[in-house]
Amino acid sequence: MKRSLPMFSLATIITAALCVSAAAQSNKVEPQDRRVPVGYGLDKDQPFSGADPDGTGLPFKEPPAAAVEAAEKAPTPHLSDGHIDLTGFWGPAGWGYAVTQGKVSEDGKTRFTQRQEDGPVQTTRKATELKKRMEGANLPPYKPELVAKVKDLADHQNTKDPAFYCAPKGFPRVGPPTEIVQTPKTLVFLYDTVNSSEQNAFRVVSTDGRPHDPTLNPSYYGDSIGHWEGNTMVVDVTNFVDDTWLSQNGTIHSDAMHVVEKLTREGNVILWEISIDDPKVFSRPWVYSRHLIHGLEGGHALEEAPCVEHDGNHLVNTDRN
Amino acid sequence: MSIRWKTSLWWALGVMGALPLVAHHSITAEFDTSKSFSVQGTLAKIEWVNPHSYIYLDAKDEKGAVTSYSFEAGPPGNLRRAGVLRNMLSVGDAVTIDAYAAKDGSKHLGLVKAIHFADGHTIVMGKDPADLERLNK
Amino acid sequence: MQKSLCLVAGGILAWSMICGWASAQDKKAAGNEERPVNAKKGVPLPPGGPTPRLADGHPDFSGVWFQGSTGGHTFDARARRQFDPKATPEEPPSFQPWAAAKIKAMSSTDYELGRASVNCLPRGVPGMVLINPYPFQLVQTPGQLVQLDELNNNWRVIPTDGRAHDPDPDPGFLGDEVGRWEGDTLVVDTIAIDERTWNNFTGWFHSDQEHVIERFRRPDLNHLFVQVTVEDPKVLTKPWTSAPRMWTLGHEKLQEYFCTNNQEVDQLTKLKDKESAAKPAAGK
Repeated sequence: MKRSLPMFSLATIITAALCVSAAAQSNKVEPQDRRVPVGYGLDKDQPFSGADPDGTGLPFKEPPAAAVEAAEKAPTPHLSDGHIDLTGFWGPAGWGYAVTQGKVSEDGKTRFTQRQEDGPVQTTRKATELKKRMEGANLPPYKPELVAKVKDLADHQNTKDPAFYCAPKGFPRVGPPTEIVQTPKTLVFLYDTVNSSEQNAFRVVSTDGRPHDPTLNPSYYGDSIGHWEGNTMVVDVTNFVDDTWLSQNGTIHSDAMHVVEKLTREGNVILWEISIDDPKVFSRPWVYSRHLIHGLEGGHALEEAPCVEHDGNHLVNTDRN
Repeated sequence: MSIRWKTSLWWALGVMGALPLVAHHSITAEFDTSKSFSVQGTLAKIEWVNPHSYIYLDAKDEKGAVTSYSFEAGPPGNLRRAGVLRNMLSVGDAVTIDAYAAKDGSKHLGLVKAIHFADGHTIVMGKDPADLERLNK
Repeated sequence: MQKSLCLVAGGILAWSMICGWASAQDKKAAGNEERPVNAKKGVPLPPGGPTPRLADGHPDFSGVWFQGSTGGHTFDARARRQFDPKATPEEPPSFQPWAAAKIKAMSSTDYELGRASVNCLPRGVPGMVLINPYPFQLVQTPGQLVQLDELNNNWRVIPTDGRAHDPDPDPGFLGDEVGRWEGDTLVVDTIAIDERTWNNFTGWFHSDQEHVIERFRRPDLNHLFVQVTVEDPKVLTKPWTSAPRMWTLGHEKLQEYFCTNNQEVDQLTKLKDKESAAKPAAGK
């Protein structure tokens, strides 16, 4: 995988060049088919949200280890104040580029999205995956008296998930930041929430040493303050509303939730670590992490469309994604 | 801490194609992809919203009476990434829409399968049949 | 030799005085506890110091910006004013007859139904600087300007390297935006704006040809001016330009704002239906 990456990249450049010139000659059906330029992050390399075959219950997956290793070898940028610079686009390539999927027929008349629905009823593959989600290696450590409630909410996600009805996902369900902008005084996380309940969200992390502000209203994304511990930015987040889920599996929390989010950059990789402490619902902190690989240069989160829900009255069963 | 993936599983996931929509219900909760119908008409409104874009069609019968249909399509972000841009659908376009039927029996609601335009071009919300055959072999 | 040593010493002295003054400004600015209180009372901010600059020499627009002259939330209408109509008057937009007629036919309920806030939509461009009573935060790095809007938690990332527009942009509430410097003014040029945005609260809709130019200037530490030009050959008879709109530097954090539990659309639609039923059949 490591050795084939440069060859793959070369092949991609050549393909890109050919595709761009081919696209330039076509009609209205096929506007500029912008292929993804060289670098990590073609969609098929990327752990996309949604599928959860490993049973972590989380809407994202870890990238391949070899890709992480390769990206770590890049130089690590620093800001003028000497700290590591976390600035960059950390989303999958498909999130930052106009066209990375789909194809056009040879006669140019038909465009296929190449996204095919599975079938009229839930597939066995999906049913197995859903079952695995509730048996995974890193389930949230709910107190015994809450386990049944969480499972019930998960089974009825169709009607119970607030994010299905345009309520914000909030933090940390939104996941890792899509883009980070860092200056010596401010750290900003920008999110492309992807097909989501809330439109593009942001968090401003105060890094000027101020404490939490107890006068702030509770919020979906919490109150974030950050400081450096060596090469790690440690963000302390408190003051949440309690009506969000932590994932798609009915994972409720209380207003006592306290999250510590850590970001450690090496080369073009950020290790993103989350520790969720909620003594009202958990018997111990729920800890998970993943590696983020810098997306392609020039990538940005795309603007998301607003949320309008029309399906609620037409659902006939509790099938889940 | 990284999770090791089997390469074969990885490739299989890539080929699967159907990218689940994180923030919404399964299609199988609302639509029956084994039943389809077609309607001809003009586009009355296009709603670019999450989690599903909506395409509204006015179909006129021989007497001139208009029936309104609502068709659900993918999220705008997904459509864009699959090459379906907003300038490809305009109010007033004369189209025929093939759609999957709603499981609750709603006659004027469907999930877009394909949109055929008067000038002969088509947008298919799905895979090239040639690719489907290859997968199923 | 002595002369040059003297010059150097003089330079060091001058430099440390400047630094001392600058950090005193910082401390003054950092004595921020009073600012929100004074803002409520309508106390206008002084210039506060020179324009901050990035290492590349361009003005640095970073900061949390509040409408009007106080650098905070204020109930004082005069202090909220973003320009003096006597000094810099704003003409109303000049609509083409068909657009003017369409707006004239709207009732006040129609105005509400078209509003971004009623529909939980972003105010978009140029609404986020033109008709936005909420603060926004600018974060500037060489090459890009990020605008974080408290209203509906939106953001946009504006490249400031003078690049051209996307050749085939997809419409968005924030559009396809590119920026370039003209001296100390940042000129932000936006096209491909989603048709659901309005430019005022009384029906000013736009076409797909709308082209918005925003000019950002920071003449001193505490003041930001944004002047907006709207070109729309399908809707307007000529381009419209705003007065330079004043924003002042605040020291509060943006609050979270998500539009949830929106019941207004349903209620207003019912009201609209009642109004339509009550009107005589002819004409409407």
